[in-house]
Amino acid sequence: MSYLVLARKYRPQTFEQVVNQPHVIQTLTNAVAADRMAHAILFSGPRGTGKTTIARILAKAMNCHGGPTPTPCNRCRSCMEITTGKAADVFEIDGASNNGVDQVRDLRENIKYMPQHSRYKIYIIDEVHMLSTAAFNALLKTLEEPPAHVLFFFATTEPHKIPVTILSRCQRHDLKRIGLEDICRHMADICTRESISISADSLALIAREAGGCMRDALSLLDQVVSFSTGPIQHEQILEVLGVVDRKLIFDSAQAILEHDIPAILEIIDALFNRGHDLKKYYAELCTHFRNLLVIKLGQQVERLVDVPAHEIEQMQVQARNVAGIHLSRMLERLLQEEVFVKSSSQTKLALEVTLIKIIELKPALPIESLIEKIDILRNEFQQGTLVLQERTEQSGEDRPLAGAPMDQGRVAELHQAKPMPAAGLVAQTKDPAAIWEDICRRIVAKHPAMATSLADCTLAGLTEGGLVIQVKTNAFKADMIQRKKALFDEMAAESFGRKMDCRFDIQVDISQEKAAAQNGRLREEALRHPLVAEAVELFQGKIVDVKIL
Amino acid sequence: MITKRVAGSDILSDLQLQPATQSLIDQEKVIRFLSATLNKRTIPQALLLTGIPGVGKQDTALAYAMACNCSIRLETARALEEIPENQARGQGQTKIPCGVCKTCRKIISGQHPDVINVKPSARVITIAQIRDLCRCLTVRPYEARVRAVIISDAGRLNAEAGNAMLKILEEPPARTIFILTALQASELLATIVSRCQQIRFRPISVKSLVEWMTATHGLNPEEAGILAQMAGGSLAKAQIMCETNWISFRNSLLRELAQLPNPSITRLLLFAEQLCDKKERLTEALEIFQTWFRDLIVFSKAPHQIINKDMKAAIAGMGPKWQSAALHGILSAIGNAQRRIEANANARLIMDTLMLQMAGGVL
Repeated sequence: MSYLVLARKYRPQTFEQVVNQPHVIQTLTNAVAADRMAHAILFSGPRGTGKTTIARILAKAMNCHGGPTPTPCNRCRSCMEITTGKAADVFEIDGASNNGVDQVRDLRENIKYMPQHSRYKIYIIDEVHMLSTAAFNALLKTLEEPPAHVLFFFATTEPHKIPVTILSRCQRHDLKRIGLEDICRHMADICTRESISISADSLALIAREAGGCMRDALSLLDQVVSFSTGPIQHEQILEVLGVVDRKLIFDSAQAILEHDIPAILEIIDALFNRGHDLKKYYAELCTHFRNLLVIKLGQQVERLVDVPAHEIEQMQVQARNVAGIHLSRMLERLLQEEVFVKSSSQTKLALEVTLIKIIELKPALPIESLIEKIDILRNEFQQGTLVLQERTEQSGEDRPLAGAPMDQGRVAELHQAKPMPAAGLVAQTKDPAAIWEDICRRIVAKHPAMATSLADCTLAGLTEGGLVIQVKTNAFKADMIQRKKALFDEMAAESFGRKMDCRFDIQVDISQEKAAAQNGRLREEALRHPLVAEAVELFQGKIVDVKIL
Repeated sequence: MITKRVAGSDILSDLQLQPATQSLIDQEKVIRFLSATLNKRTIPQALLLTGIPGVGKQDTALAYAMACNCSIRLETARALEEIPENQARGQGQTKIPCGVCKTCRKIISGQHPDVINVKPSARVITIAQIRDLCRCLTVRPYEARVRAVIISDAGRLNAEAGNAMLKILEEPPARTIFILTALQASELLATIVSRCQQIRFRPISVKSLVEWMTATHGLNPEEAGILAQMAGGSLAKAQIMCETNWISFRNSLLRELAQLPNPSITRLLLFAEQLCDKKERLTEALEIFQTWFRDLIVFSKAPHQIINKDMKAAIAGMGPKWQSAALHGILSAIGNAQRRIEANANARLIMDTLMLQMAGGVL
């Protein structure tokens, strides 16, 4: 096969060619120059940022015939061999497929032999995070004190999967994502060398899609170049890359915020028909809502939201008329439903249903305003009865619910919603029987099981700050009533509109209990009586009930 | 690196990819791109074909492997004349692969030693399969100009297998290309996707599906219309629907669902039992349920976007009886049931629960 993809063709061969990792390159070149190279180095970072590339260049730098040098010649035998991947002394091992302890043992066996013609024997283990635990542990001793002629370079995208014992034995270099401009510049450079004509805008589009990974960018560029004949058009790129146009994301968010269900269904349909990855779209939508929320909160927007300035402006417009709490609830729901969308066999359907559900979310009031309202409500109660009474009269009028300030009238409305009569009315009657009836009704409404116990209670006395309730019942019920004192207090307070203290005057009715015990004993005796037993046996019958006459 | 051009490939400059087994519908862009790579000789080392099931990814992968190796590219003009007229030439373009040469026939019948197809064994593609593959690839191709490794359903590569592929995918041996197929790129490791050129297949349009069904299965346009709407852009699904009397199956299910807002529990449980008797159609039935309830939700907001277009009257009648929250509840219950059936739980129990949830969802 004659064709070599751009990512491989333009793989950097010297430190200078590596794009935008100055912190790593600087450290390494200095170390090489000062002859202070660590024997184990770990490169970590996102895909396509140059881990393997740097490891290979470093191998060249160490083994170059011109002595360890920050600028390998790329002409000597060692350098050439490394470039073509045939080096006898540089072992590039795929950690993912050679991940067992056996392979590590083999490696340890061979490590003691001297390099064939180079200065160092270098092991580059790529995808090192896939080594098994046993394999990692088998490597520990060697990694800590390898022979003088051995160097280890590890590369991985997932450093968190590597045991700390390995990490502590390595010098770690974290590669960062490559900036948009650097990717563009590098691609433009390649395009001139390949004599491809492409506009800067198009390159920027590809770079954005690549998300800071050079290999992604070059793969996409490759694809675009293969696809098009003649100069490359911007629209062509959109089509080839299947980039979900930013406009569509904005439109979707707008449709969701405006509760426009037909529009959102149209958008999903269009995306589906163009063969877009709907899961990716969902992820982008989540990011968009996250950005909207951050913009709504309005602090350090430029730093926290990674989109161009004109989009931030657009988002500010979009977020203007939405409450922050509503945005955050929608985002929360989006994240909650992610599993449903991702695991569904019919992604399109799941996506539609989820977005409809989110559109149907009712805008909620912020907690602070709710608390504020409760506070107002409480104050009203504490101010006494008169105000409340006035308000009951007003409550018949129609009031606009939304957006109206929290005035006294609305408190009254809320109060009216309850089935109970307004508190002040009862308190004013001063008739103990009516008051007691009212309290009983409230207690039963709240706690229906208390109904039977209340039958044994009567109101014995009424003072300014409390009630005396007489309880005539058996010990069990009396105990239960006493335990519910809080309920009585609360209901009394509700009825009077002020704090009331309930006291119980308990008279346990012993005679009742005694009678019950007596009956039980009689029943036992009757059942155990030999005559009864004989009768049962004689008639082959059974005892259904015992009646005490 | 091998930079020698394939001898004779310059003879033909306007190749157009056309799968020999089955015609590819509605995928002009895919064909245009793949043909362009053939013409420009920029055959990528790794392709990732994504799209919903049944739009021709596997066929395309095979066709591409054939096209890279097809003898027409080597034969002289004389050989071209032997190929049947309709296949070989159309409007000055050469259809490739020819489908009749020795290499093509070998690949079609799965006999070609250098076209390796890796498929999920059981549920996943395991690391053992990938190791075997890597071992195969260490030797040179036996006879092919371009050895093709087709990894079907690459979304089922497990994490170990996926990682084990990375090195060879990035720098495959000479004369080897990888073709991966998957439903969506997000199923794969980002590190794999970044090494591939991704080609997206579109769902097939309703119009093309109707045409295809009337042409191949002799359906009347009306029935074909309903099926095409329900197939959701998948040719394979449409084909199954044509062959299994799908409409009457759906109607029988919907008749049962129609009683729902005020159900008789016994009848529903009986229905669950009937569904479980036909286990092979259970997933299909659940999908029909989903589309039905989705339509009920959608109808009140955007009537023209329902899927069961022929049932519009019934949906309009049912719609007002439901509350949207209940419908959402039922849909998520169906989703859960699907996941559990996928995980091989007891189908009967799941269906019973689902039916009770459906009945309870409206109380």
